[in-house]
Amino acid sequence: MPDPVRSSRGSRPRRDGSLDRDVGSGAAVASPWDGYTSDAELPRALERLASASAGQLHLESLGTDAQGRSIPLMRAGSGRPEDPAFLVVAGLDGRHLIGTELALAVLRHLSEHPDSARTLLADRTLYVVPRVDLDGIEAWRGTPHREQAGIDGTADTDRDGLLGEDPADDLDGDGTIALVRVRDPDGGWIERPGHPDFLRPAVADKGEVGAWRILVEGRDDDGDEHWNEEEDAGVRLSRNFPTRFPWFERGSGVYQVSEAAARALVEFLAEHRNIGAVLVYGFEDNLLTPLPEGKASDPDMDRGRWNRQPLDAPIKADLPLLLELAKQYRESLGLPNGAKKVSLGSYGVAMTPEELGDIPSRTEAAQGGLAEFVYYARGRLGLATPGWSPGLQMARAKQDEGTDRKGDGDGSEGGESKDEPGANDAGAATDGKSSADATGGSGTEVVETAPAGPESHDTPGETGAGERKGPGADDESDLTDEGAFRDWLVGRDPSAWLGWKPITHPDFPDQEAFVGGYAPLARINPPIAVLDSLAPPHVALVERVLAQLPRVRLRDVRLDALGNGLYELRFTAENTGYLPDRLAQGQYSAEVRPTRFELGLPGGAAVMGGPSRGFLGRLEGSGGSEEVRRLLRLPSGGKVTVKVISELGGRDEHPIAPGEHWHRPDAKGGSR
Amino acid sequence: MRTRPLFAAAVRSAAAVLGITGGLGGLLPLVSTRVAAEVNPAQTFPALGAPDDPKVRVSWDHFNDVAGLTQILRDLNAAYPDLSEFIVLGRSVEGREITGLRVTNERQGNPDTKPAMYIDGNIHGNEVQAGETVAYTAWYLLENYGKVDRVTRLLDEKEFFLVPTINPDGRDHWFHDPANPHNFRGGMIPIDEDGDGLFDEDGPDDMDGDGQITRMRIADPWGRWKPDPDYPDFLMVEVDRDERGTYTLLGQEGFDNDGDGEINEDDPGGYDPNRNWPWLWQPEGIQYGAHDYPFSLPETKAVGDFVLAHPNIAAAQTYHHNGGMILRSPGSESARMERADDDLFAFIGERGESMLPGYHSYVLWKDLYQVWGGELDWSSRCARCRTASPTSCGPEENLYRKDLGEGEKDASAARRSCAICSRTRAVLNEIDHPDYEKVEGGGTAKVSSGRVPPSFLLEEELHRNMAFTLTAEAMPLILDHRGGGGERGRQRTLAHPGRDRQPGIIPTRLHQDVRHEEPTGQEPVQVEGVRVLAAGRFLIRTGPRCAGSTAGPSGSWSKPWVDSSRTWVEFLVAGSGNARIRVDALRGGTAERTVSVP
Repeated sequence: MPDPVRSSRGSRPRRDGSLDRDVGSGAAVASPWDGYTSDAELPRALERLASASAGQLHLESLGTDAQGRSIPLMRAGSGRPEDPAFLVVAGLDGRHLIGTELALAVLRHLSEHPDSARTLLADRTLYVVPRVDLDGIEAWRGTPHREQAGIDGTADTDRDGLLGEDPADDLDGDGTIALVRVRDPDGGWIERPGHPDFLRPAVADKGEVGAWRILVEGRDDDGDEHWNEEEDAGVRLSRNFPTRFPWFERGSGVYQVSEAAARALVEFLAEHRNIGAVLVYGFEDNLLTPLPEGKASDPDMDRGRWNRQPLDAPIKADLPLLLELAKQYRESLGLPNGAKKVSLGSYGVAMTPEELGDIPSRTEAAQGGLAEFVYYARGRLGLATPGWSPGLQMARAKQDEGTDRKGDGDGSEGGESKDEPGANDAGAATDGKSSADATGGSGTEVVETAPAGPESHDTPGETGAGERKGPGADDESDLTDEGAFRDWLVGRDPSAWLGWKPITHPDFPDQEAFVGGYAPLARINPPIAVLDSLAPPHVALVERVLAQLPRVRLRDVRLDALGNGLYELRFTAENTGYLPDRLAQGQYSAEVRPTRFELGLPGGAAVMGGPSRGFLGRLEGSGGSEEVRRLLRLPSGGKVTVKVISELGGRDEHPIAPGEHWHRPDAKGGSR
Repeated sequence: MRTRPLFAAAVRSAAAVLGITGGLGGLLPLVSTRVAAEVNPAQTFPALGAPDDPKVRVSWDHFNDVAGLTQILRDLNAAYPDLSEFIVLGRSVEGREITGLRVTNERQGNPDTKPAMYIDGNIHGNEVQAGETVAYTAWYLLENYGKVDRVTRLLDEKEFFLVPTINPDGRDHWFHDPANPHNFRGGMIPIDEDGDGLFDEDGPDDMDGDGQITRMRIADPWGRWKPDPDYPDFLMVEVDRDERGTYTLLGQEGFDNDGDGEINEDDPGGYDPNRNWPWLWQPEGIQYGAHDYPFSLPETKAVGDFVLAHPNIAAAQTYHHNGGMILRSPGSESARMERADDDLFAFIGERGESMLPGYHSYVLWKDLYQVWGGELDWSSRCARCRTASPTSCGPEENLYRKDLGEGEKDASAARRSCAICSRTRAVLNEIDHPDYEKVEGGGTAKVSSGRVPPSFLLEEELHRNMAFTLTAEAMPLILDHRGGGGERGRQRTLAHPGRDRQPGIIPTRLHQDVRHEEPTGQEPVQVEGVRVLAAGRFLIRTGPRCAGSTAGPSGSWSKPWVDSSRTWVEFLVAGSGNARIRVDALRGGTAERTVSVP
């Protein structure tokens, strides 16, 4: 583990947050992300984990990406199609390195604790895909360091028939592609009063006049007055999935699941129908930032499929489950349920260069996202979290501080932080895009509302700075927060903040210009030392969901003689897992089969007036059950085998002899 | 630096003659057979329509299985090697090749830059005449090159990709297996439709071995159905509430193969290839037949890859059958088209109505039904082709050339039988059924329903639809541009392509794509030989208003054109001598001209 605090730059920001104009010497520096697993290291790391796991981990392949590289897949547990399974996916966005580390942390834990892994995975399977986009990490390892969200570019971002004709350029020769701010009255950004290091969009309604442009570091190589528009020209795998696919938007791909790596994932899901839950580490988020409580779909489940419309919110029967899982997750992170919700997943007000998409808001990330596809199109549990964010980091820091200082005990159920001004201030670095109404001052709880309207799908390239809704001019409460986060970050890794270094920009020779801001990836991935405290709750998350998978078992089976060679077979199937055997969306999407039963009859036997197979209704979690009764004719006796088969909840079977009454020994409660 | 006056480049799209015009075809014998019957030219006189004395003789009054269609394509390719290329797009689930012909005059122009039209059919396996329609189109184009001016010009200037069946599995099963008119619509990946863990275990059965899947009924004094009083051999009608029927209907001919108490509940396949395309794809619960994810099927993926690999495809046609409709996007209300695109598609559909009696120009979601993930939408929106989806008429509409009311349709089977003069009904004589005791039944024979035309209408269907296809003349084509040296843009005259040519009404890009800056590549007008100082597009040929006046660094004008028929670009240049003006449109071909700058 590298030293989390390095001092490599010539100067550091002043604590008062004022613009540090003399920062940076341009000397080659250590990357702030040392310690993250590179592409070259990943297969070796996985092989080591597998070989050290006492047979608990098996390194396999998800498939191949567009360049023919194998995408590693680690399997833990049986891999049998009849057992419940859980899939963890990380690294769909090339910038999201922390997700890969959190996925590896789970594998490391299982490898180091093979006995508990054996118990946990005795009748279920965990699949982990630690990294899907194999290009992004090499982009920042390369020279110069830079962020790359998509796979290596084959996309003609500006549709001019040329590929890669305007990449970023390292103007100041410091080995890093950073941001450039150019003083320009046509720019849409202004300095935050008192915090000139940070820019935010000017709000025209309030009479603010923009003063700065923000560009990616580099020249307009092709002279089209767009700066470095082909810097990140590849498809973002995280936006390539079919549900709410962002048509015509940059980086989404030519069509739904057009990319080989994304297709490998959806094929894997189609072939492994027993996967009942998927956890995605990335910018999609329904765990750290819970879904809005008031927004649920209520489709008529009994109506035929004719003219059905796609849903835009979870079905109301599923939403409480998703909210509960999010609550459990936040609690495991040491955050009270009432912690300010939007800010937890916040990356701060992004200083967004004109030609590049920034860190997507949760709403944006849901468009074409994998977790959305899993829920809406596969009818299975789709969970997602960034795993870490500046908002989360600041909330945790504040939590610790607050607990020490005032012991505020905010963990009570339903406790709302808005009652406590100042709580979680640090986390209030608002999500610049999704929380347009986050203007209510310090500590106001904001729940993200409706997703962006369809018009936002249709106006790619128009999402300029002016459209990004920042905080109102009179709401400066988040300013200290961004500064606080920067200070926190710099305190652990001075190279994460580049400062603002004056340069003469070749395309703007007469205008004041600075290069710097956050170092690439610094707002997305914490210094690696943070992983020590971040890994345990995420290991716990995976273990918890594994344990929560539906588990359908027989509870009671009896075969009573009625005389005249007739018998009544009664059996009860029960779901001993936490999740239902079929989400409402599993039914609505018609992608999850109902649990069924099959009766194995001895020779000459028959079910009276019906088949020896049938279906059960929905089995709720935590003991939901259904009793089935059938009349049998058993002319020559013999045992009847009862088998229940659930697509997501596994299988169970028990043979029963005439006159016998069996009750599963470990079942709670008595027989009915 | 000496500043020269502007000169103009005027560019306009290709001409199109829409509708059927006289003097089209050569003369031909009425019936051609592939077993070449000796035709005595002194005794036979060709009728208008099909080509006279074709090199490849095809019985267009017959249907062909996949091998038969492929053989037609191979024969045509062998007869016209300079005008065609045999292509294979991919393989089906059961390994059949998806075959087609590329048709263009290879010796004139670069085929890769000619505006192209993609035409397929038969995505639904039972919609068989769609396959013959595409094959007929190939035959007609190839046999008439050099004979019919319109066809000659089409193959010189344009390119056609003709793929008769993109569901070869369904097509072959429909012809070779027992079936009714509706079976084998989808593909052959086994699907567990009833969720019992078994796949395709209980399809219909041809109980009497006559090759027909009829409908079963059982005599029942408490039944709710009775034979239609007027057409007892053809129709069953449901009785009124206060009436007693004589039969109970039992569905398609078949047994309970898997002993689950249900009959024919899990037949072969179980999905719809025309719901598997990645434009607004939705899962099974929203859209029946969607299959696992977009392009999860080998057939749809192969076609999609092919179309996207040919960005010069500017128009597409995808043939279905039944109903007499010229369908256009969108398939769902929420996926509205750009208004200008919708106007264009509607215009073409209306021209089709005039060529295809009994057909109606319809918007899919509004006039028929909602479709998510259909080929029509994908082709129109994602592949960005002007696309129409004609569905062949039922014979009834064609026979009587009128819209039938609901009541009339009831009687159509009988009238059809009368006009066709042959047996159109399949009969299931009383038979011992293992699940129902004695049953009987009947129904429309496989090829005699309203879905598939009889021989004498088949030829008409094929020809009329082919004629509609030739609205490909409306594809964009950069035909010419005029300009010249001179003063102050007074040279902005428009080239006139000739009295018989009308503007190509399909723009080089749909408005949707102008708005979204799609697809890659624009329509640059480049000038070489003199230095370009500025360029601008003029709104009116002789007018003073210029929309912008910037030039790219390489002396090009590369803003999108929104005008479907012509655009005028003026260049302000320095220098003198010969200037080469070159126009290059991804979907409109290329053209160049040299002018002298004084």
